[in-house]
Parts: sequence; C-alpha cells; structure tokens
Amino acid sequence: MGGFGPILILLLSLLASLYSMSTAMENSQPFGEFYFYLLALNIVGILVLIVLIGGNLIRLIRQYRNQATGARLTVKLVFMFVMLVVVPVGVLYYFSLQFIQRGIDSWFDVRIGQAFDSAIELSRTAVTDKKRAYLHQILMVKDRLPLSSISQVSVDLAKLREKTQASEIALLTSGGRILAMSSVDPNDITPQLPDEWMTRLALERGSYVHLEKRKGQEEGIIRVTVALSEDWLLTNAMFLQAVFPMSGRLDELSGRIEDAYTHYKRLNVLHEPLKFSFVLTLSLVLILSVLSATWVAFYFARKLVAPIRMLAIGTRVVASGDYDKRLPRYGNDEIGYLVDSFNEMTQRIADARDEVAQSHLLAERERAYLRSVLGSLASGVVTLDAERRVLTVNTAATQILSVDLSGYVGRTLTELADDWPDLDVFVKIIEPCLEGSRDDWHNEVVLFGSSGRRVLMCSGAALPEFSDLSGGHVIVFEDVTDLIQAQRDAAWGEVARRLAHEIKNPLTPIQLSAERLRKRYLRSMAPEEAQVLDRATHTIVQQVEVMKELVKAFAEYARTPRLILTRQDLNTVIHEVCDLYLGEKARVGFSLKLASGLPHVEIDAGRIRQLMHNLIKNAIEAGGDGERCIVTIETLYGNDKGVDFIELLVHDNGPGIPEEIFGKVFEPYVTGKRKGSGLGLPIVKKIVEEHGGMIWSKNRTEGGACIMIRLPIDHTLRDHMLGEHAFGGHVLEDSPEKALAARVNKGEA
Amino acid sequence: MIHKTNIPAFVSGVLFVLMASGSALQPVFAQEGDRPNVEILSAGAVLKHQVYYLNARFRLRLKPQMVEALHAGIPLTFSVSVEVYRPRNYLWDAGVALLEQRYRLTYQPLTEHYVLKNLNSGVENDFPNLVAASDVLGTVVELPILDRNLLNPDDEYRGRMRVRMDREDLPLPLRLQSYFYSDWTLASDWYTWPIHF
Repeated sequence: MGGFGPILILLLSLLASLYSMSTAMENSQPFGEFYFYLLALNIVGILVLIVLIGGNLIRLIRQYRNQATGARLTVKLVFMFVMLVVVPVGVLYYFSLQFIQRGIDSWFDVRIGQAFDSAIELSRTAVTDKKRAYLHQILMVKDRLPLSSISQVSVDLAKLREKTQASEIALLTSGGRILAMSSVDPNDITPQLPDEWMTRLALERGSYVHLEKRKGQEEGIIRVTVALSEDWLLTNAMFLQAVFPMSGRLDELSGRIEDAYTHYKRLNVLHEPLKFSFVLTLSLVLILSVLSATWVAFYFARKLVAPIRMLAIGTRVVASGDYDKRLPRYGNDEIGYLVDSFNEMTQRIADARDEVAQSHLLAERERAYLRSVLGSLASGVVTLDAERRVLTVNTAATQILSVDLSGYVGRTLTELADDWPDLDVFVKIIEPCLEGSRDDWHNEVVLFGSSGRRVLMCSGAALPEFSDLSGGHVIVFEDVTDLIQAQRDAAWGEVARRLAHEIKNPLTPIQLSAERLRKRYLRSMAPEEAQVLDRATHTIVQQVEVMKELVKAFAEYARTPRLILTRQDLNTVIHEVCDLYLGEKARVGFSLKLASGLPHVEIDAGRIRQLMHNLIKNAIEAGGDGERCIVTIETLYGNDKGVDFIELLVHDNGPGIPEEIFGKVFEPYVTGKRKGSGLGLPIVKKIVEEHGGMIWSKNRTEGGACIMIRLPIDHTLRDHMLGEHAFGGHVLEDSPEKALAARVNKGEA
Repeated sequence: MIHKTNIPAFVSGVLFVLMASGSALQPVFAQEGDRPNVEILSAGAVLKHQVYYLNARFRLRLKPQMVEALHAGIPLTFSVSVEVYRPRNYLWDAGVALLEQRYRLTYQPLTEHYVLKNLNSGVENDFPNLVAASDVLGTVVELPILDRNLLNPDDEYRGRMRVRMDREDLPLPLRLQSYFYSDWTLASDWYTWPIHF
C-alpha cells in the first residue's frame, strides 16, 4: 500500500486543477490559457488513480482467492465505502446534469432576445437620426465654400466648423490629398482620413455618413463625407469631410446597449459549448471523486483491517501453542485496547503455562525422589487403586516376594495369586484388610515357597483422597524371617548358657557321689547287690559324662569368644584337621579337592578347626552304621560381582538331609541322627557368621548332603559383608544362586 | 463480490460520463482533413530592392456557425503563416524565415460594420459588409518576408504559406468544443512556390 501523503498531494493537485478549470470556464484569463493543460493533468491523474486502484484490486482479489486473513473484511469494507460514495455522488451528478441543462437553457428567453434586438434597433435609429442631422447641416453649408481660393477656404472651413460644431472639417481630394482643414485641436493638423471605400461611396452617392466606433477610442465619431463635384470618376475630385464626436447621452446609452446586446448574443451562441464544458468538468469531478473515494476506501479498509488481521493471525498463533506472541501497540482506540488485552491475555497464558511446567517439573522431581527412596527401601512397597489393581511397586517388593511385580502393574492381586500359588496366602491375608477400613493395619504373613519359610510383616494404609488415588491403598511389607531367626538364635544362646551354668555345677558332685558310693560299698556288699550298685553307679557316671558333654556343647554354642584373626591359608587348616582323623581310616576317608594358590584369608584358626571337626563329625554321624564315610572337601576361589571370596564345600555319601528337617538344620536341637547333641551345625553356622560368611545346605542329586560356606577374603570385605547382611550370614538352605541374585539386586537398587 | 461488480461499474461510469459530455460526438479532433475552407488563389514572392515581398490572394469561406458567432460579438482571429525554407532530401526542411500575420475580425452590432485589425501592425479598418472585409483580409500586397542577403545563391529555396483560424483565441467553451467538432476548423493547406534567386 502506497503512502497516503503522495496520493493526498495528487488528489489535492487534481482538485486544484479542477477548481482552476471551473474558474477558467468563467472566462478568467489567467487560467484560460492553461485550460487544456489542466484537462490533460486531470486525465493523467485519473489514469494514475485507475492504475493504483487496479493494483489494489488485483492484490485484494489475489488475497481473497488465497483466503488471506482479513481479505474478506477488506472486501466488505471497500464495497461498503465505495457504495457509500458512488450512490450519493451518482444521484448528485444526475441532478447536477439536469440543473446545468435546464439552468443554462433558462437564461435564454425569446422575449429577452427580441428586447435586445429592439434595443439595438432603437439605438441604430437614434444614431441614424443624428447622422441625418449632421449630413443635413453639411449639405446646407457646402455650397457656400469658395472653392476658387484655397486660402479663403481654410478660413471658411474654420467658420463652418464652428457653426456646425464639428470636431474636425477638411477638404480632401479623392486621390488622398488634403486641401484644407480645420480642427478643434489647433495642434491637430492631420485629418482623420477616410477609407478608400468611404470616399468611393461618397463620390458615388454624393454623400456618405458613417458612424465609427473603434476600440481604444473613448467615443465614437460620425464621419460625414460630401462630394463637391459631380464628376466622381476624376481622381482629383474634391469632397468635404466633417467629423462629429458622438458625445453625450446617446453615445453612452448606445454603447451600453451594444455591450449588453453583444453579451447576450454571445451567451446565446456559447450556451451549448458552455453546457458541454460544464458537463465535462462536472464529469471529471465525478470520476475523480469516485476514484479518489475508491482509493481512499482501499486505504482505510486496509488500515482498519490491519490490526484486526494482526489479531486474527495472533490468535491463530496462540491457538497453535505459541504463547510468546506479542502484537505491536496500536493507537488509543478500541482496537488498540483489544490489542492490549490480547497481549495481556497471551502474557497470562504464557505465565500459566510456565507455572504448569514448573509445577510439573516439581512433581516430576518429587516423583523421582520418591521413586529413588522407595527403590532404596529394604521394605517392599506396593500401591493399589480402588479396584485393587497394582499401581506401583518398588524393587524391594519384587525381591521379597521373589516375583517380578513390575509385570503386574495394572493387574489385580487375585491375578498375581493365580499366577503364583505360593503368594496365595499373602493375597488372602491382605485383601480383607483392604476392605472398608480406612485405618492403618498391621499383619503378619507366613509364606512357604521354594526359598523356604518366609515371615513377612505387612502394614497398610489408605491412600489420600485424591481424584485418581481415592480408594487406593499402600501396602508395606518386610521380610522379618532373618530377624526372627536372629532373635531365636539369641534366645537359644541364652538358654544354652543358662543350662550349661545351671546343670554343669551339680553334675560333678553327682559324679563324685556316685563314684564314692561305688568305692565305699561295692566291696562290702553282697555280689548280687554289688552288681546292682555297680550297674547303677556306672549308669550315673556314664550319664553324667553324657550330660557333661551336653553341657559342654551348650556352653560351646553359647560361647562367643573374641576372634583372633590371622591371615592363614585355609587349605593348611583343612589338612591339619584331616590329619587328625588318620587313625580312624576304617570309619572315615577324605577326598580333598583343594584349589591351589588360594589367597590367605583372615580367620581364627581355632574356630575354623572346630568348624571343620563339627562338619566332619556331622558327616560321619550322618552316615549309616558300618558304612565307611567318605567326606569330600572342596575349596575354590570365586568372585561374584566384584566380591572375592573362598568357597568351602563339605559333602558326604550319606542319605542326605531328611525332608522334614530340611531348612532347619542350622537350628539347635534339630537333628536327623540318633546320636548327637543337635548343636553341631548351629555352632558351624555361628562360626561362619562370626567370620562374616554365608552358609547353606543342600542335598546333592548323586546322594549325600552338602554344606557350602563362603568366607570373605579380607577383613574390609568381611566387614562389608557383615554390614550388608545385617542378619549376619544369611542362611540359605538350597539356593546360593538365589541368594547371589538377591545380593546383586540389592547392589543395583 | 466487489471485484466482480466494481470494474463494470467503473467502466460504465466512464462511458456514461463520455456520452454525457458529447452525446453526438463526432469522431474527434478532425482538423485539416476536410475540404479546405480557405482557398489560396495565388501566392508568390517578388524581389524588389534586394527584399522579397509576398503577394498573395486567398478566399475565406466562413462556416455559418462562425458567422453566427461573429455576429454574436465573438472575434475571429486568422493567421497567415509564411515560411521560407530550404528543402532537404533526407532531413526535414531547413527553415530560413518564418513570418506570421494575424488578423482579428469583429462585428459591431450598432454600426453593423465589420472591423478588421491587423494584430501585427495594429491598423484597424471598417467594412460595411463581410465580403469587403474578407476581400481585404484575403489580399496580401507586398508583405516583406526576407532579405536576399540571407539566401545562399547555390541553394534552392521555397516559400509556402498557410491560412487558418486560430481556435486558441475563441472563448474557452467554444475552444473546447472546437477540439471535438470539425465545424470549427478553418484552415488551408500549405501553398508552396519557388523562390528564384
């Protein structure tokens, strides 16, 4: 869109030229000469406007076809503006044309024309009378002129002039010679010579009277020419010429009438051309007005639509999600207010979006935080929705239940129980707790699964009343098996210590008393009675020995001596122990598969020897009577996920661990043997735990029980393992892989 | 839609205006194409005292509307253009001398006389009728046009003259109309004669 300024100047200059044209129409001389240049200027201006409007129109059509924003509104506005101008201007033009036609025609009236004709006729008549009078005067005096003497003629001419009141009187010849003259003005020595045709007429007719009114002369003159000789063919024929001023009222009036007559006649002749030029000028004005209005309509329509278009585009941009769009300020009117409101709105939307993003970020952070907290929790956490479907689970839950719970998100607990029958108890105990009550609850669940008996401490609470959480629950459960085990171990330890203390003391007096009885009365008694006494005291002493052994074992179990750790080769210790059994080759044989080059480990050699004795004894006792027991001892060096350890395996060729006590072999007084205190393996376990190791048992497929022990290689690692396994040597009956997996998972979590 | 109706509306508006401005408009700007209204009867230069003088006679045929305008007090201006030039074969002719005599003819309703004024010299003459006036107007006697010294004896020269009525001196409305109507055209063709050195 071109600037408004140049166009305004063009319009103003066209208007000025139109004004000049109309002024020129009124016969104003200064503009008259430029009329055609003005006309041309106007036509050029109109052409320029047409080109401008055409350009605008083409652009608008293109925008309309492309459905550009604001094009429809622009079209409507332009159409409205143009109509607003064209209709009234058209009406005005039509009536103006009518007015010009009729108005100019009404100037002319037949009666006025006749009046003017009569007036001029009247003037002519008056002038003719005057002319006749002057002629008569001259004719009366002409014969008195003495033509014989030129000098006398001059004098007579002067008299004659005075008498007739002529302004000038002269005696001339037809050849143009001046014979004599007399003038009112004494300085005037040349007469006003008549034209040739006047002389000829005067000579032909004898006289000729002529009124002369020439431009530049103040007043008209009446020239009377009279021939003095009959023979007009002579070139030197004489004639008298008298010039009378047409002074006075007649001259003034006749002059005025003539002017008016001329003016009227002139108008009469010009009235059609006048109409033509008026109509032309008017038409130019019309075209110019309509074209200017059309152009201005385009200009203002665009100017009006521009902010609306801007708003529309802005709205579209905002709708597409760009809230940073700001529109430039626009004026102080309502549209400007609208633009301001738009900017404020987008600002607020942007702020709101930023706030949402911020709070989303916060929520995300909270969630990540919560997830990591839950993930690192040793307790299993499961959340359920109102329909008992799993919402979230943490890693510990998966580890505790030994089921990959992440696959059950969105599924119900019942489905979980269907898939894993060993969890059925867990689900059945928990589900009633979820019903109805919104209070916190606690429950203990005992599971029997592939990894043995597990005791879980469960607690739950309703989730807060948020829209999607409403009716949901959170369940937290802990595997307290080891804790209970530890408590039990501690209790057994205490019992053993007390028993040892309480029973050991009376045993020695009992034994001594029995021996004294035997010593004193055996020889003095009858042989039959002596036999009874001997048998009874023998039994007492023997049983006391047994009880002493028992008490010793109890004491051993209860004892928690301070470890004296030294770096030793485990294999050497094993060899030493095995050597002690060389004397019993008939009962026991050893198969040693000891890995060479094992690193030294920090151990209390005495305790480890006891451990080995217990294990070997256990193996021998496990074997059947009369059968030679083969004890296989293996050591190997292993590394699991960066943790170095030495593994010790002791297995026998016995019947293996009976089903009914499997899983409890490390508890006191659990034994499948007829003999034995039932404290051998518990003591082994205790020693392993003191060293920060792990122990578990299994039945080998090829027969015989196998006890597996892992000992950490160095002290720091031992501490690490002790710290990591707060329960101190986790006991796993048959699955080191599972235990390892659990450890690895913990490490990952 | 506006772009469909606006153009025809505009075009019809222009047509309307054109029709209104000259309803019986003849094919416009007809000028010297018609039969000459001025007939140059004779023209020639005579050499007298080393000066070329023009003698010429032409006859004016005023059109009725011109006579009507004259009688209504509108002066008619005539111009006699005389040109001496050297014709060239491949270029336009080289002008040597250019002379224009202008006359104004007016009518006096009171005296019923015609006044002819030579605008170059200012001389005015009365005539009792139009024939006498146009007779005097149509006679050019010994009008000095060129000094012989200005001519090159080796070159060939020609003179030509043309008579026409000056529309520029008509009153504006009439002038405007004279551009649209050939009725108001009064002009002769060029009349050429050789100039002998």
